[in-house]
Amino acid sequence: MVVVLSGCSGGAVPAIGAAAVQLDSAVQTASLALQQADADITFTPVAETTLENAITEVDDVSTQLSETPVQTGREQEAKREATAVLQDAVAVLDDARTALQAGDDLPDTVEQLQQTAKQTAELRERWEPFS
Amino acid sequence: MKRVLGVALGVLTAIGGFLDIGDLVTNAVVGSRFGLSLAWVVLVGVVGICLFAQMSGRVAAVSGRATFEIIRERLGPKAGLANLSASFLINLLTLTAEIGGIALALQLASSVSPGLWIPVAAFAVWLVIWRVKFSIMENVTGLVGLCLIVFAVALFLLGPDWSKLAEQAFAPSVPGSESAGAYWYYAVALFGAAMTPYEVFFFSSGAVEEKWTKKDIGQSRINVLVGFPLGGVLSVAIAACATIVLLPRGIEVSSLSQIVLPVAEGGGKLAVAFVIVGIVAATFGAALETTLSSGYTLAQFFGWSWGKFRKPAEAARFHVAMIVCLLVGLAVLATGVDPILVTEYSVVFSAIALPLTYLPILIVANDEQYMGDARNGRVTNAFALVYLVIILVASIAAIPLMILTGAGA
Repeated sequence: MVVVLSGCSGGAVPAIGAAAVQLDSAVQTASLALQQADADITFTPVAETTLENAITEVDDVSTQLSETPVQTGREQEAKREATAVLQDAVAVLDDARTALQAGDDLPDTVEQLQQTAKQTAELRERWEPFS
Repeated sequence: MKRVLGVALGVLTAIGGFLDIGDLVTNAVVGSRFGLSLAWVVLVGVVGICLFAQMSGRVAAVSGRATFEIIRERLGPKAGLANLSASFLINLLTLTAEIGGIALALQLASSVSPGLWIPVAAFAVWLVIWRVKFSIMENVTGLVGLCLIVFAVALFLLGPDWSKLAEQAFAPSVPGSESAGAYWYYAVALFGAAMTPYEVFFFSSGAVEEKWTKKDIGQSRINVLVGFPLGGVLSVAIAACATIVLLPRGIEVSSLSQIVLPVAEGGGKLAVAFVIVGIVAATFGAALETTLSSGYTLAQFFGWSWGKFRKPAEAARFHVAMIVCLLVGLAVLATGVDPILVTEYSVVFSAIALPLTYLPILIVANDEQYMGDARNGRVTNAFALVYLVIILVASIAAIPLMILTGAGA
């Protein structure tokens, strides 16, 4: 699903754009930290702390997004798409935290997180110009 | 030989002691958003801090008194109070940020919440100030802080495209994804981080603590003129690491843990261990300096007995003032405020307060009555005047830029 936002300059779009940037930054951070933990080039507390911080940031984005009022159909569709990507990210980050805490093998989680990171990057690419 | 070792120790301590939480966070934020296009600000800031730190060290060495004491005497209580208010409040904000920084660094080593580390960190700061000799305190934190050289090592290990980095640094421009307002807001923040007021007050009071005389001016000059610029190189290395690893991934730094990611990428676990030790030492050293600076400025303004060279019972109000400042810092952090946010605000407010800190130092350093033939020369004064203009511009621009950009958002 691709939302065309050309011509949107006011209303909820800048807020959704800013949320997309913050979400992408948090997910990319978590993805890099987990890759480093999987490659054994960092310590578990560092990866855990980084992941916790990323989860807190995603929670902030979730609050921002839920508090963003939308009026036009286009804005509603944009918010719906951002919320869907956000919910995916929350679930994957939660799985990653559990895997890291349990000391499980990480390659599958890393791959999942990389996929989510791709989605957030696409979201950002579309919306950042309007933020 | 002993003298050479003394100079080497002073330089190494100055390098290790140059960086604090403000430098660490601001350089990483800037690198992750603007690449090396703001590296020139570090250069401007380092020259400025060298200029005024050596000036205040010279004042202390020649007069045997701390700069703040003389400012109050020379310019009167009103000007002294303006200086005290600005410097003290910024100092308190910086102290809060440093204690938060220690807690965040310890979280990286332990996964234990920073909320639990904050009281431990504040207690440790008080204990060291209470029990440990000034020279040991300064040298140990400065030398262990040298572990932050790992940022420069990681930079080489990351194998960057040097020509691209050089192009960003030497032909700076605002990146397409950022606004000019945000660029200049972070220029002011970087400048404030490099020229934090506590550094000069600590430097001059430290000179009195270590009983410097005119004979020590040469060594203090070498410490400042070699140590601080090398500290500035480390600042640029932090920004460069963020530029290489975080910027291409769209990661904007908002926590201390993100600053460590490029180091792990370049140097692996050993480098991460070094960087955590370095951050703890740098923030702990800066927390000691800001706590002492709070006590120094208050005691020197009110004419209380002060100094670590005196027994605590002989400088009771000085020690009580420091304990109160630590408790205030703890109370602020207990509200749950993000220490990184406190850091970001502290460096910008530092920039706002700079004129009130540095103008009096310049006046005192030119006073023949206190300085005799060791007063500022023409070249130093010419540089200082240029810097006063820069400081004034940064100070005036800080708040409008903060409002305009939503604090650099």
